[in-house]
Amino acid sequence: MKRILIILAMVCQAIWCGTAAQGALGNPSVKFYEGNLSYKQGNYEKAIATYEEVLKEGFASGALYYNLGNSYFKAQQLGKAILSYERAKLFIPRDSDVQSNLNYAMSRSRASSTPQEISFLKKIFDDYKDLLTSREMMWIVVILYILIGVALVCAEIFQLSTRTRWLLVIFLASVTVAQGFLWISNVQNISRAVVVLEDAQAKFEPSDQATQHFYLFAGEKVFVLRSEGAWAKIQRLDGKLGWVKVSDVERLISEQR
Amino acid sequence: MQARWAKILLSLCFFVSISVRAVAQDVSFQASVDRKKAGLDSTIILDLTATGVQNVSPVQLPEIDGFKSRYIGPSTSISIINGQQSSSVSQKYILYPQKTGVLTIPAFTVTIEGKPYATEPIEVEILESAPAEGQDSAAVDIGRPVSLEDKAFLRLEIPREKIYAYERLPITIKLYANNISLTDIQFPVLSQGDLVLEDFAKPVQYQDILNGVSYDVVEFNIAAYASKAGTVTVDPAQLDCNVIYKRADRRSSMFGGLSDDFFNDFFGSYEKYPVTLKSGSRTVEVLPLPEGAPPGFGSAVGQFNFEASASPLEVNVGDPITIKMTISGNGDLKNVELPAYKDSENFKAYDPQIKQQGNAKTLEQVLIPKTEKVVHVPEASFVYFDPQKEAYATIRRGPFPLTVHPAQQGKANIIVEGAQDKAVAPETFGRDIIFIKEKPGAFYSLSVLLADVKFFAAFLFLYAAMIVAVLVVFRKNIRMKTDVGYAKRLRAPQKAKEGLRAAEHYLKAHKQKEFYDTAYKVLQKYFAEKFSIPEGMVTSYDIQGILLQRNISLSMVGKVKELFAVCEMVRYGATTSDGVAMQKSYQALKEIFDFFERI
Repeated sequence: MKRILIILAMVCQAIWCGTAAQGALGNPSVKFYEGNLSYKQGNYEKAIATYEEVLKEGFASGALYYNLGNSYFKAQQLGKAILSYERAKLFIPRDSDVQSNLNYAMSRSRASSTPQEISFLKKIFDDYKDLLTSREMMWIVVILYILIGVALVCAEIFQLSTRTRWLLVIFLASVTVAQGFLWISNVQNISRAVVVLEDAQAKFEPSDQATQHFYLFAGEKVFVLRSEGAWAKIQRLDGKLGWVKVSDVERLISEQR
Repeated sequence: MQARWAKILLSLCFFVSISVRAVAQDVSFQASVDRKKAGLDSTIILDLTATGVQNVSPVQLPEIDGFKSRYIGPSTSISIINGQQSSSVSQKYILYPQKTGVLTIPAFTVTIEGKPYATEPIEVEILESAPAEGQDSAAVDIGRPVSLEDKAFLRLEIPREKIYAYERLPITIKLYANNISLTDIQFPVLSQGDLVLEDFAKPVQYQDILNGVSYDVVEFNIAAYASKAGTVTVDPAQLDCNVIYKRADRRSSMFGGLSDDFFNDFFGSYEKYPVTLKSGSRTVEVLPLPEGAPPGFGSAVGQFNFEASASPLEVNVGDPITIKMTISGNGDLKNVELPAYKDSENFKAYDPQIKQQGNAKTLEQVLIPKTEKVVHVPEASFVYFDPQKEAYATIRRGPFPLTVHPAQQGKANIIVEGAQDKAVAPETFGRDIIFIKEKPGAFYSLSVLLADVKFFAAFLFLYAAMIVAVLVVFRKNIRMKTDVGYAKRLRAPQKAKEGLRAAEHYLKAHKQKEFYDTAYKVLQKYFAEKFSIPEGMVTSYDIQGILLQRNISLSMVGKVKELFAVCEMVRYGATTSDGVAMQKSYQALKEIFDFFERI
């Protein structure tokens, strides 16, 4: 037992050290403030470049994406602005400023496709997922998982009946698995993307000569289903499928990150 | 949108046999039959319908060549659609065919409100017997040879053969059904091709007479646009629905078809089969827009109206002026751009708010006059191409005369109490994004999600192992306290090890008696605990039976018995043993313990 605790402590220490090492890689805060200064001076292009530099160094935060979204918005790049606000929501999903600016930017978008009807249950799950960051979701899974272990030990100590034990464990395990599923689906959902080009055309086939299928406008949310060379097969919120150039859309969670 | 209407249509089931008269404003008189092909042994229902009236005397049918007729009676229908009332009177007759061949039901005349009206002649084909299924060309595909050409079919109608690029092209798809029950009618599927399709409008249901036959019609309307010039083919529309009919006899072939007799069998059970109706295809010539488009033309094609207004028209410098523009009409409003104002030396122009509702697109924009020298809001003009007139058109609104006063710097200070509402009113300036955040918040490495997953996986494994270990230890402790036999069995190996060590000690010290005494006691105690029996029962006489009961091999039983015997003989002084014999006994003792610990 003592050995197990020692191993657990060593693993936790290793993880903590890893996080601390990541924090020591650079000082992104300085660049962040530089970007803010450029923004306040009205030099939005420079602000964008500075914020993007922080991202290229491998750091991100909700405030960084939010300010980047503001800069893109002021620089009349609506698609990139909406993309940045959506990314900011991944880090600070309950921030009212992000939601407000995102709503305003969306109102400026010419995108008019109406989402497909979804079931009540799916809407609840989607709203719940939008409410939490992936880290928060992971910690909920961890806590629920710990609770299962505690429940098992308590059941042994208090000699609960077999039926009660099963009910308790099945309930907690179901909640944990459901939460884990939501978390994993949130982390691995790399299909969500935003149209960054002002006016994009979705075609029937991945070819310049293909017939135009429908229009896409900057800021429009789409799902990237697959890529083929320089083309990506996307699905619009209203369910329509089409091929666009990969450069026309940008994923919320890019594959290389 | 389509999905919602599809759900509504899923529950829509209409029956042709129910008499619902067509809605019309003007008076008309029409003849129709329920079928155009019948057997000598069947009948045809002739329907003479006068619409736009509420009372018409029955027509006295003349002799009709090849038919005998009988009057059934009238039926009156009154309907109110969109606030407009319409009525019709239908006189029904049964026609009994008397000979085969192509027969003509002649025109009938009637006088309504002093004016004569006449029907069109109708040709019907009379066969020896009712037409068997499969004789007509199939217009449906239900996976078996069933003909429904005269009963249900789909028509694709396009009003024009030539349109301009970006011009709205109305497409109508009509489902005709005669003497057949259709249910679960889905929206038609129309291939996009080179056209951009809008959503389907709410379908319309009515009755129509086609070639002398009365049909129930469901009409689906959709608009399309072509973005490039050339010949565009509108592919056939497909519509899925289910046919309901009554099956006469379960033992007869259920694939017999959909003949009238079949349907008329009241006692038959209901059957439902999916069918796919297909229309024909159409081609449309898409013309390019003429050269010489006026400046400001985007891609607006159609008939539009453009309105613009500005208010208030008397302001101070820095006060907002709200501009409202509306474009309405018949065309692709999604691609229509409203002529928003841009920043100028006279005005600061905020980003416009654009909305589209139905056939109208509106714009609201805030302009701030920068100087009191401004005398008007400039003219707004909207340019579009009118395909009916085949010409570009420009609608101009404004300029809007404006009175701008110099800004009153100290206005807030001199406002008297009670006028605060007016003072705060100008705060409703447009809308903009919220300012940037001053603090960066917690920075995460972009690979943090992956790190989370690794951490989670490591934790998952370690914590599960820990919980399992805790439970195992806990359960073991509980059992040790409550199960004496289990506790003894667990303690037996430990005791054996201790005994072996003591025996080894006496072996090295050449203490013969102590060695065999220890070996005997260790063996006795070990088997007593191992098999949960009293120590007194474990003797050289009883051990053989104890071990054989537990299916121990005879060689091992012999070895144990021999060691017990040697120990007893030395202990009781019957014999002595040298060092070699002691070593041999010690090895035997070890082998015995090893063997019993493995089983």
